[in-house]
Amino acid sequence: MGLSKYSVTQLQSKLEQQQITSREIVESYLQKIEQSNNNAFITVTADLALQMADESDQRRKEGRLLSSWDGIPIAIKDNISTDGIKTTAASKMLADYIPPYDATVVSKIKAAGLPIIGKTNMDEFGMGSSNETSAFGRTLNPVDPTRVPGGSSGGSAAAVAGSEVPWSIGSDTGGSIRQPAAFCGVVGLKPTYGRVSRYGLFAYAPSLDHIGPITKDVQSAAALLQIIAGSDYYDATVAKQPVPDYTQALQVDVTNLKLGLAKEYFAGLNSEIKSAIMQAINVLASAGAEVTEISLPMADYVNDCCLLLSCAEASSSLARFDGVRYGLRVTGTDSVEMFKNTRAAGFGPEVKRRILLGTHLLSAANYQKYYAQAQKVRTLIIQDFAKAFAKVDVIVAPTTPTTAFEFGSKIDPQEMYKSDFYTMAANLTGIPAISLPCGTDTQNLPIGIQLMGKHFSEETLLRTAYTLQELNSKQVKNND
Amino acid sequence: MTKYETIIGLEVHVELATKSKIFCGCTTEFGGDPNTHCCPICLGLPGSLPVVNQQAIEYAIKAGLALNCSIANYSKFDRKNYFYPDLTKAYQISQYDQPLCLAGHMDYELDGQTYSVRINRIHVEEEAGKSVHSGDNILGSEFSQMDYNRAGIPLIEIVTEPDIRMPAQAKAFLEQLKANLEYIKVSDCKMEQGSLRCDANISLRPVGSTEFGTKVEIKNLNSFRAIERALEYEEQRQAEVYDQGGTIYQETRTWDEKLGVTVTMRTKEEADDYRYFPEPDLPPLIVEQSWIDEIKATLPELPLARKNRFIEQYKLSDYEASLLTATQELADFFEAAYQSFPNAKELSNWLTGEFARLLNASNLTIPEIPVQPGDLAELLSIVKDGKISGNQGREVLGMMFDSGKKPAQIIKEQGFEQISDTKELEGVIDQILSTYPDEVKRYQAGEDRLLGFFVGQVMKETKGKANPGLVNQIIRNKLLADQ
Amino acid sequence: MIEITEIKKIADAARINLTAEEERELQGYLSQMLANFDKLRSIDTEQVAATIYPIAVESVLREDQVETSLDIECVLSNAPESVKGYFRVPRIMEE
Repeated sequence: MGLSKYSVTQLQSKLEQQQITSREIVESYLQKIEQSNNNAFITVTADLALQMADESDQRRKEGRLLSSWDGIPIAIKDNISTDGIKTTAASKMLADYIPPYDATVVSKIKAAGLPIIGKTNMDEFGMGSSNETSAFGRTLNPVDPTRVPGGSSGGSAAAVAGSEVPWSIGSDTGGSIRQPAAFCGVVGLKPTYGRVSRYGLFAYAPSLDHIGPITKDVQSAAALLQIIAGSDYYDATVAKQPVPDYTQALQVDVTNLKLGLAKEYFAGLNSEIKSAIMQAINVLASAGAEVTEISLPMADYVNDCCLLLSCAEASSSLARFDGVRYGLRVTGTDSVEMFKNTRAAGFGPEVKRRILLGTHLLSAANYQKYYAQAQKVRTLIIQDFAKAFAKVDVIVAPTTPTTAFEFGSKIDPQEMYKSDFYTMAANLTGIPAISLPCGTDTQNLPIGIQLMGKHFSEETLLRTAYTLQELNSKQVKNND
Repeated sequence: MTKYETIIGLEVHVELATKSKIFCGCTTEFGGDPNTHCCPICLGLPGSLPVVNQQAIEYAIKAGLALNCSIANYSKFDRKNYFYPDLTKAYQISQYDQPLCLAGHMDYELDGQTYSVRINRIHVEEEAGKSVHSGDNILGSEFSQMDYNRAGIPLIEIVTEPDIRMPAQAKAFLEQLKANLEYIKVSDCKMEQGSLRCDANISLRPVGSTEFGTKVEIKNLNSFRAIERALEYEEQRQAEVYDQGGTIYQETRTWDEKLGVTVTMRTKEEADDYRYFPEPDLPPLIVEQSWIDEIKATLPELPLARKNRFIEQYKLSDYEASLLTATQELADFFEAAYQSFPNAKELSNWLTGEFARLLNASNLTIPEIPVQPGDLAELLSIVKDGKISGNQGREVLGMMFDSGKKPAQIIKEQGFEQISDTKELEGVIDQILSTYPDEVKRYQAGEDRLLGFFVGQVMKETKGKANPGLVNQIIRNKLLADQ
Repeated sequence: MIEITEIKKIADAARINLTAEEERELQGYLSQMLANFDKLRSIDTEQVAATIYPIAVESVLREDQVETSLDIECVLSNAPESVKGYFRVPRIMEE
């Protein structure tokens, strides 16, 4: 069928013109998934997807579409609650857990008529940058199967990059949408904190967790954000700001846009990545953007601050997995033994490391020294960015310090954490950030460029990203 | 016990009477089949998030105001982390360093003396679920069974300063606290249902010393009487230890109701580390002064103040006033009835006497009974005017409870207004008969018509109240007998 | 270097059984991470307020209304062990 090569926009158009049906689209993707070795999915919901596709086709016949993307299938990261569909967070702890409720984003996706094709693979509980900590096996990077797709939303990114699904939803606590997007050569958007409801997202670090789209192009990222954004009765931290029409932002126009380059981000940067980013900046500058140098003096503290806070919060978020009400149970002579046995068997090594570190950090003796201090450092980092945004509209940065690395090449956790060097600031500050492809290195591995904006400036980010994407593709066309 | 001074502090947990739970919409109704009042949020399913119930905060503020606390315009929630099967998230959402209410006080009376206890803080938190043990007690069970219906019900924790000096005072304090909370209607305060629970801390120090001794926490106190007994026991136990030159260790002890002793639960070398940190899923609680003022305006007169006012205003005794203000409903009833029947003593006697008896027997609350304050007032007026006797009045009241009818109607229907008291009637009849001896002779000679005359005279004398049929009968019997 | 006795305490507090090897590995990991975090302690934050919430959100309060609860079947659907509507667990030793 070959429908999997089409973008969301193209699929939308073909559906509208009745050249294809939703069922044909879903069948095409199911076939692609079947044929793939990438292990991007933990669960493929074939029957459900086909049923939802049929319903969509019926709606289309009867002229009562739920949205303009009705019928275009989607994949959802496996840490987002789906009613009646196994949701594992890629952990043995939840290998057989079937939630009795939908996350708000899932409700919105269903309300827009998108068939759900499956749940994607990830690093266990979101803890990782390579998809290597999944209890369900590694996911391969479609660009190069000896390399990681990134993480923790590795499955979502690989599924999109491998054309196994036209778009997907991921989550991002320290870079988990943007880093895999960069590694796989697709678009990943982490919205402003609170822009998308977290209700139903299995918590890792609540003050840092975000849900966002991973897509092939900027326009479908805008569309998907449109679908999932908005206020929610079930999330007390969600933003009340009205949701604008993000598709209106899809214009090629960066006149007078002020771009900021942080000197701290470019010192010591891999030369190929640097060159690709500078090239992209030139494209934007030629189109009318102004480039300014800015400083983010706290840059070296971002990683440690984010890790500290996220491990501490994680130790609390994951405490509920105790074998009593759901999930794995390894019994014991008494409840305490049961807790200890269950958690020893259910969690992988990286998750255990972070929980134990977090437990230690929150102990009464350590709280002031570490957690309380990190909260204050967080304030300083926020101030850094506030000062920068007084001067510029968009901060341009690399997404990752390297392109996709080989499996097993980062055994030392510390090495792995460095992969999130450029992404963690947006989680600490809550600012929106998007990664999109801006070239490849000499090994043909994708390079991602990251754009960050002020709170609730997704429109500006999308416009800038769209401009870059369109001008670059024109460039490519011209070069061919 | 004069060698040592007893220092007591209390921690009281009170379930708030909201309709739904503090962070989700599940009902707070008591009972129900296990695990039928649960949802992803109170079960702590992965991905669930809390959203605060406004009514819970309102009730907490009201309780704080009633206890003279200052209400924080800014407070926040924190996670109290610990593992226990009844705690679905393995943390309790509570308030740690910035609670909602601070620095209050509450007065209570004991043996005619007024005491004041300072309130250190009141904070908001959530209930855990309930465990049911398969054995007789927790220690002998092989399994435990968990029911999460209770998980997520809103709680306030009231912490007193260690101002209490005797076990009897602790009991009196708690009784007053319960009355206060009932008056402001923030909780049904039913210890037997667990909506009010208390832990006590007690230490001893030599009289004259200003430093505190080591305190012991006592748990498993299921009634106010148990609290008094447990504290008395512990007071004695600690004194004996000190007398023998021993040391008291900081620990938690449980009260064994059957044996009447406190028992070590577990000596903790270190205090529990709950790894508190601010709750990231809930924004800070901002309480505007205008909201606090609104709530303050709804505070009723509290029981102690009301009792004292009753004593002064209505010239009632302390005992009478206590009984009348035991519940707000009864006190309201009294004052409403007083409007139409301004005799406090009379009214008090009836309310604490027959009315109370009937109320008890009916198993209804005052708002549920068909008797209105005005109805009682009417009845008492009728009795006072002598239209019916006191005994009849009590009968009428009983019928008012049963039928919901007004006193006048009942009296008419039952013919109570008429004098049906045989003795009374005989008295009048004798008087009439002795006034008309000639007519008596003539009747006895055969002038039957004169019966009507005698009845008429009796009716005249009793202003028409005498029961004519009865009068007729009595006269006949008398005159027959005399022949 | 953090002591193994400390690691054991942390594992107990987190209710996770560890093998001796895991304990050793964690000793190294924690020590390294704490050393990294110590860098943060050198930053002067005397005049700085803590950030608890990345975006200032106003107090959000919900109406006190009862919503339908989950069916008991749903509540127990993932229960490792349940009996007559209850979740069953091994005996609870006093906490």
